[in-house]
Amino acid sequence: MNDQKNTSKLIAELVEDTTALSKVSAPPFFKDKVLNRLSTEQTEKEIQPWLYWLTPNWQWAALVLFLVLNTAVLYYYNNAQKEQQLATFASNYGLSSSEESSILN
Amino acid sequence: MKAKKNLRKSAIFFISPYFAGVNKDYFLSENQFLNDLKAQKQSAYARLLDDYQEMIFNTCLSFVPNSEDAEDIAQEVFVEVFHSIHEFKGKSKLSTWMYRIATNKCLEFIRKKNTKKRFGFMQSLTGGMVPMDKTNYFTEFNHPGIQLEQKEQKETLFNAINQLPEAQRVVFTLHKLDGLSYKEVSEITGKSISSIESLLFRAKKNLKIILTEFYKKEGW
Repeated sequence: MNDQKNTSKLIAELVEDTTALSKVSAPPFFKDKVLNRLSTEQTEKEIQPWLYWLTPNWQWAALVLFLVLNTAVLYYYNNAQKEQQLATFASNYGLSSSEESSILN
Repeated sequence: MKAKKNLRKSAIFFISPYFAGVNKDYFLSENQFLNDLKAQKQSAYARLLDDYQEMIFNTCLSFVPNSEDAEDIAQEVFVEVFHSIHEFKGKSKLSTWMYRIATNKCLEFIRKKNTKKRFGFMQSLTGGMVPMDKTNYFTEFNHPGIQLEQKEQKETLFNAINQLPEAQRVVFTLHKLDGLSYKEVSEITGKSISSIESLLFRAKKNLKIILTEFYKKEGW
């Protein structure tokens, strides 16, 4: 019973009392490190490659567009090819409607 | 009574222009400072670092109690400020905006580390050779602001905080560990003060449940 009381008191203290977290000063040379990093970033920004705008999002969009266009072209090409093959087959075996009409000649 | 009132009135009359002048200068210099930051002048960033490095580092430490990790995140915060200062419209205080960036960066770091931990655990189950420590906390506990005799207790508290839902964790960390007021927390998180109070209440309640479970398991 007493132990339980002590545990709940400890938990309440732990949750409520956070004064033990004292403020810490920034690590040594933090400012220099950040300023160095910023100046590096700035020079990198100045000598950007010509395709800097081609971010992964644009790359994905381009890839999707490429795939869609290719699929569409292949689909229409195959359909046209099929019709042509059918017409050739019909004309070879005299099944073509245009050849039937040639009896009049 | 009337004389007292008159005296107060005249005092205000004499003092107010002085303060008005100070405020005007202060705002002018603040505007100039913001413009310099937007122009990415090094002197402005040096001043920004002087003014805010401690604040940002301590906030990062409150979320990620490891000095090396907190330093890395704090650096990331300043780099982010450098890149997105043109998006700062001045609707809130600069410090509030920076707190928001720091909070987001810390949460991003914690999310990544927690995922890594879970992935490592899965790999260890399937027989992968990823070394895994026994704790389920996302980083090695190393908070320079905690006294040695309190280290174990605070480590337990931080572990429990990590198990809270994100909204509760943010509010508890900013208010209780970082010492910010309800108003400041509400400005940073974009939530109303009443919802901050409610989140804090639920966070404390959940923490008590988590800690009770923990101490029960430990045999207290």
